[in-house]
Amino acid sequence: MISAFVSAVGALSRLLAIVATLLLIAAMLVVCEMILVRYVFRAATIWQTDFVIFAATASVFLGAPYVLLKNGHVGVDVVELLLKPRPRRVLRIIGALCGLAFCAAMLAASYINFEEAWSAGWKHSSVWAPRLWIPLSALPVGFGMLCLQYVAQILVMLREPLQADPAAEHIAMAHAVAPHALEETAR
Amino acid sequence: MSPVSSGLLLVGGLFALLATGMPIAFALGLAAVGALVLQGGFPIFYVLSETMFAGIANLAYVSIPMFVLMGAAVASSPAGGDLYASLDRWLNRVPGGLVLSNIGACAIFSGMTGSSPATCAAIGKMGIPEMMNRGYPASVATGSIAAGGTLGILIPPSVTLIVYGISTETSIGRLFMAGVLPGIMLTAMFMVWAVFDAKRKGFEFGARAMRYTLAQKLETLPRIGPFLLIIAGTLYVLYGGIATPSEAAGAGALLTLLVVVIAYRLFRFRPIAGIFGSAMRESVMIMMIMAAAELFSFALSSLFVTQTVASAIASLEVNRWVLMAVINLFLLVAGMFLPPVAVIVMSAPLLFPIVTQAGFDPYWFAIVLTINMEVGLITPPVGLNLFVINAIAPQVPTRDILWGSLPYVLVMFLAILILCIFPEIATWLPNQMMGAAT
Amino acid sequence: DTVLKASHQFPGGKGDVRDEMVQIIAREVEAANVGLKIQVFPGSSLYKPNDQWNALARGLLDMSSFPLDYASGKVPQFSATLMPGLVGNLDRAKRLNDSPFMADIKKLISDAGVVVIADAWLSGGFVSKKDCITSPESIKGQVVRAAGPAFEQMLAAAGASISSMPSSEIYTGMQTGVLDAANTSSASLVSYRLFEQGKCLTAPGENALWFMYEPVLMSKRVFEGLTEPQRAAILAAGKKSEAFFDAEIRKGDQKMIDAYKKANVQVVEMSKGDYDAWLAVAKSSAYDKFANDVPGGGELIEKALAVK
Ligand code: NA
Ligand code: NA
Repeated sequence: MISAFVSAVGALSRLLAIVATLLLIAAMLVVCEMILVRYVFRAATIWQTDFVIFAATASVFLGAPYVLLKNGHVGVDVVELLLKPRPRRVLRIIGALCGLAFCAAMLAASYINFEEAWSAGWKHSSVWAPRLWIPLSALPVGFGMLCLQYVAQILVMLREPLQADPAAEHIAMAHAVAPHALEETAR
Repeated sequence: MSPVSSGLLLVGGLFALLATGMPIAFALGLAAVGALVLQGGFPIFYVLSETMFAGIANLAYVSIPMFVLMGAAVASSPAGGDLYASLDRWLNRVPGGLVLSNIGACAIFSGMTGSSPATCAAIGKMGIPEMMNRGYPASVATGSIAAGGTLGILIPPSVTLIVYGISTETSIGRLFMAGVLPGIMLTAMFMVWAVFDAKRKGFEFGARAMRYTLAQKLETLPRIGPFLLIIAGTLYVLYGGIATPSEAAGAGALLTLLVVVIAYRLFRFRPIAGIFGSAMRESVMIMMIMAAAELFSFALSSLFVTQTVASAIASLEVNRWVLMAVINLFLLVAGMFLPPVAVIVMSAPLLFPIVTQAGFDPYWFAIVLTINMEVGLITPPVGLNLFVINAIAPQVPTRDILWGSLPYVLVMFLAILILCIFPEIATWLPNQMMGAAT
Repeated sequence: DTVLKASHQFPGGKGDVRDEMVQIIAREVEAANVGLKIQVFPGSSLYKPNDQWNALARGLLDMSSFPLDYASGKVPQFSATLMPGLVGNLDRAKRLNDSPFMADIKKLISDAGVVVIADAWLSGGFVSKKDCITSPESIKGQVVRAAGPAFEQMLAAAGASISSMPSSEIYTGMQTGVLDAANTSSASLVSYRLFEQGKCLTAPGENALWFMYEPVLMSKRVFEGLTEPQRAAILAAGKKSEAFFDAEIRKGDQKMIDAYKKANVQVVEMSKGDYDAWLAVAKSSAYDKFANDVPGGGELIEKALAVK
């Protein structure tokens, strides 16, 4: 039951990560298109700037749950490394609960914001004037998923035997800091 | 509560949260939300989301994932190894030649990515095993890579200079240009130290026996071609009147991808998807910290801590160089615990007016700040480059890595000192190319 | 003492007119001895420019100054306060403040939970590396960075290429040739030193296209929660800062012209004929879109144009 939940949450986080990656690719292509339109054709660029900004920003919040899944948000691990397995696990669970508290607070805050933008029909003040609820929806989705990801992590921590390996943690962290190099090494 | 005590409480709370090992981004965020709710109750929830979102929704910040993508593309291909091997053929007869190849390869790679950990990883995964195979001590091998990797944020493009540019409303193009000469200077200083250290300890390892003919040396040059093409292309887009710095990043990323895919025939889905995926992960990590740092600095400002500290510093009747020394000390300590982008988002708006008021050039200060942040990348407890080295060379104890990079930290301090005496090293090139600072 | 928070995006303590407006209110209110103090957070050090409107409306921020157009995504009618050609010159801007047009705008502001403490209209112009920008024909083919969506629509309709970028990038943009021209406030035209890059300045003068409403605002909930003497002190301070602004903005235009002339940049103004030609372009582009997209938009434009 728990493992089904954990793997379902993981799959959803991966799905969002794909969306986040596609948004980044789209941002890159549109930036290039914008340069082309302006420099080569000397024509107006109306929607490109807004699109690029919102796509890149949304991708941060949508990609965050997957980065958490991969233990990739950088943290300070000195205290952890000084502790014996049992207190270390307690500390980790406290850390995860604190993370969950923040993500839950932001889920509430970003939902309020999204709901206002949706119901009041807010638009971005620019020529293109995209509806703000579209990019803003990335926050409640991302933070909601982060909450689920944390719950899954805490469940796993409560069940697992006491034998976490600090060196493995370092590798996980480096995966976030510079994932490319390490994937290459793994191959 | 007075601003000073609420500030201390906020920073203390942050440290307590960081100690749990939770992500730095969420620790910054939770400390900020806690303080804001204590100050003004739950209505503050109406602005939290906007503060995070607006903090990173900026055209110039789009260049961060793009410059990270450039690095990911090169790092995922055999290009890093080629670059390294080629430099080795030219430099192997110099004492400590392999260390020089490392530092040189890091410097060149720095021109293709905005991030230091990326530089460290791309060159280190090749350089560290190679050095250790040839008998270099683990500390020398890992220390030089950790330090060489820090050049990634000094030599343009640079994520930290982009964040500084946005936080202080200074020109990013100009900041990049200000980083060029100090970047070359610091690279040279690293190399001088490496040669000196090698001579002192007598690192030869039969390198002189391994001779390469001129033909062997020349045949590796075409393989560096793609790199030079990428750097030249990005520079052309950046300064050739085609796009603003923010946009050049997108063009640079696409160009790099095309060059890497064509030159190394990566025509399959997996490697390309891998490049994008890892770039996404690294940039999400960086940008999430920035968004949370925005929240934290909003809390500091809202509690009037920022203003109180700023006016306290401004009213210090001290020599401007004493002031600069105090600022550097503060940055050094902050850089030990927090990643560069977080330090800049939170401190640049506070320090910028003080520094310019004291008559320091804002572009010069950006470079001093960046070198200071480079130090932070290789100091515990949070050193992004250290994490990377730990992963590439898990068999090397952290103590050896730290011991090996310590001399380079001292070289960086020396570089800051030289920049204080000769600020023109940072300001001359932008002044030449773009006219006097605005 | 009640302590109020005032936030804006302009550099603090460096003589920026908009910063000074807020600082004057803070000083005057404190001097009035009504148990009220205003902390000013300059340079976006508290709220980001675009977030200030919501924070005011929610009562989380007490006072602010920003272009009202920033809130046009939330109250679309506010676009009328950054609409090309609706103001013309600084004297007419003052008459506009007491017109039915601004009464409508202020009603919308108040309905959203915000009150105006001091009016301010910023003047601005064009700078170009190519031909002087006077008539609509003169901008054809130039790559322009415009300030405000309605301006972008009008300039695009006149045949310009619009390039959107942050104002801090204008200098580099013009230097590298990404931009041929820029349209922004007189203050920015000076502070970004665009006279080093431009060949021709179109100064505001009698027939200016670019004006932007940038009032000092307060949260209505906060304002109404103050005592009678406190409110009176704030309004009196607002009047003072308004008068200060009116004098300074004229000096600012002259300072700009002097700076550009000193840098050997040609300085021109639009003629009445140019202005009317631009109005015709605006009517078929920006005004038309505004009237179609925004409830009551057409009437707002009519009311503004009807002011003598
Ligand atoms: Na770099
Ligand atoms: Na550190």
